Amino acid sequence: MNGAEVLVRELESLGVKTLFGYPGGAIMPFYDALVGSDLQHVLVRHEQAAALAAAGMARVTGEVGVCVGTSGPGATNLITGVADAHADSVPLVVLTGQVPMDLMGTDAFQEVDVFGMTLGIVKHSYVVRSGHDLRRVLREAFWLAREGRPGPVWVDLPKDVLSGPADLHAQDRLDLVLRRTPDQAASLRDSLARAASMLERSERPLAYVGGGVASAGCEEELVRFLEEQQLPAVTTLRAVGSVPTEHPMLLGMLGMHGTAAANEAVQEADLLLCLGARFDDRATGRLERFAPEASVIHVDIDVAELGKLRRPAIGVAADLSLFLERFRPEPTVRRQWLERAFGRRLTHHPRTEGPIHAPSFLRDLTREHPGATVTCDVGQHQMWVAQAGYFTSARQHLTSGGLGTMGFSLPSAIGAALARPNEPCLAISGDGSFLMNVQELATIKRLALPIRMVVIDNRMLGMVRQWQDLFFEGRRSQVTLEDNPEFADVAEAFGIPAFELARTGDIPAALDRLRGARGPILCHVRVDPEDGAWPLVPPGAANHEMLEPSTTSAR
Amino acid sequence: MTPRFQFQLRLVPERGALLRALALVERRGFPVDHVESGPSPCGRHLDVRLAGTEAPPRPPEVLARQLRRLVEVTSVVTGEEVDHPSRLEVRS
Ligand SMILES: Cc1ncc(C[n+]2csc(CCOP(=O)(O)OP(=O)(O)O)c2C)c(N)n1
Repeated sequence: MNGAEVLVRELESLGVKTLFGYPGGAIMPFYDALVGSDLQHVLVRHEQAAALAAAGMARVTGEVGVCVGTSGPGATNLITGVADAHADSVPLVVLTGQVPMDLMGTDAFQEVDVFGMTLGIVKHSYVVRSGHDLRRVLREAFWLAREGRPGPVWVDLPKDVLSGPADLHAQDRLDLVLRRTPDQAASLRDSLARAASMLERSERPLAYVGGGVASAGCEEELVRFLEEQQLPAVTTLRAVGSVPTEHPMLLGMLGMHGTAAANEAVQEADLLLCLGARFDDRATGRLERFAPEASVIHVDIDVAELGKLRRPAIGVAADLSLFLERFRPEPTVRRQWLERAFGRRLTHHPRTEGPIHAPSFLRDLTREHPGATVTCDVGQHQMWVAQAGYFTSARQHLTSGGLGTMGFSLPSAIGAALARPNEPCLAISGDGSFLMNVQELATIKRLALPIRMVVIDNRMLGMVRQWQDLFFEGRRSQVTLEDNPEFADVAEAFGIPAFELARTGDIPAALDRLRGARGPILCHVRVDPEDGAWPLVPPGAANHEMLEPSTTSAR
Repeated sequence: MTPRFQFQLRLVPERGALLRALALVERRGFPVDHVESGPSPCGRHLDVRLAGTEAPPRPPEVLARQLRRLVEVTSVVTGEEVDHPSRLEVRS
């Protein structure tokens, strides 16, 4: 067997069913070995989409996603998707071809130093120099991608390693597994009792929930804990859905576009129980002024997050499900605090006439698709989805939280739709973002994926426009997209049915049409270019210093 | 005076391990002053001394934890002031 054949065999035996990729020179032996294998290879139309689709699948399932590309431009095209997975701690294995070993270091055709270029965006990486290491490396890569805090692992494969002899029976390196399996019991033993008494003594405690909860697969345990403790919760963007949208203990998303109820509760809390969140600047606003009265109990599987930005009173390096299973403080009802915190929750008043109000539309759309996976792009529409969408799990809400990658929605929807073939999938895009991976309409059509695509078109790079209006004295620079194509025509050119929605009164019919679609469909929604994503915490401000439309002068 | 921090790392002798560890120190914003490395009975040692001219951007213990997360790093010992190795705090 050659290296490529061993690789394919090993992928099969690791339980991989689907991988996403694009062939080319250095990776050709692998594509040759794929012929006749049981693996489903999804040919995308740009490597960035391969990485984002594989990560989309991983975000939904919690299993390792796999993407493949060739050397040089194939590898560099993958980079954005891999950085995205790294920023959001998504388990991914990336396989790239590399020039043959004797050409490495000579600036050969399609040679790039993938190892060096990706150091900052991977959990680990390998350049495989012998076919006899292939099996071990692949097994390690899969293990590492999922172990502890998940992340991407890159495996670079010189062409001669793929086509040369390889060993199917190479040994695993057990020392690695032993070395990286921390003693969580010790960390828990030291901290549980102290953390419990801190929470019991607190008068204004608050749970600050991050993406780690969905990664650890303990959303139900979290909700039970919040109910038992009568503990109000705020979530990060990534964790939207971890506490169901209408749960009585939820104050909403915190941070730059968070709810007033969430942000003000954080500022008043005397104790923050931080569960799998990392004090990201979009969530905290000005760090020194974030939760100024609170002591922090920080629980994270990644010990390096403890104290990175905010020093906790108690840091617990442990798996969140284990923590929630063992953490049993005496429940206390703090009526005043609950009344105060929940008293600020706003009721939503939908706009019933005039131009389409995107948040209201998105609220209705997600409600009419309960259980659907919703992917979104980056910008105002992303915030509207997070603020107004209806979710019962974070694995249902796929958003590029850490990297903010425009072009995220379509490829992640491909991964999600393949992972959950019996559930509906909504892909929400802005008009700017949609064109960043529009080529994937071809993949969606070929696989006949029932993805309901919604383009929220304000003929603007809306989020940038809003910032220019607010913080650059209204000087609009390179943000108008008046030369957009007709999105419905674009979809139809790919063989995908499409329609336009421009009036509020037509929303019910549009929702019916989307809900009834069997295969892919695109709805082009025209919205007012001057609508904003509110509230907004200006950069450098504290989270309670939110701007609302009434506090700012429109252009 | 800003204390001079040093990190003593043990690495498994894999290609790329040195680059990965050093790149992490610099990427995380810690100014490197002096580096020494060579084979050791446990693989390879890497001693990194930070410049004492500017304050580190975050507590060095945070960097030590980030270094410990690297797959090739088997132990990290941190300490202040190269001249006082007795003050090194041993953690692995
Ligand atoms: C790849 C990439 N390039 C640039 C940006 C910066 N950026 C953030 S939001 C945004 C505007 C997005 O416009 P659109 O997709 O139309 O969404 P809208 O804000 O109008 O809802 C831009 C350019 C980014 N996040 N990602």
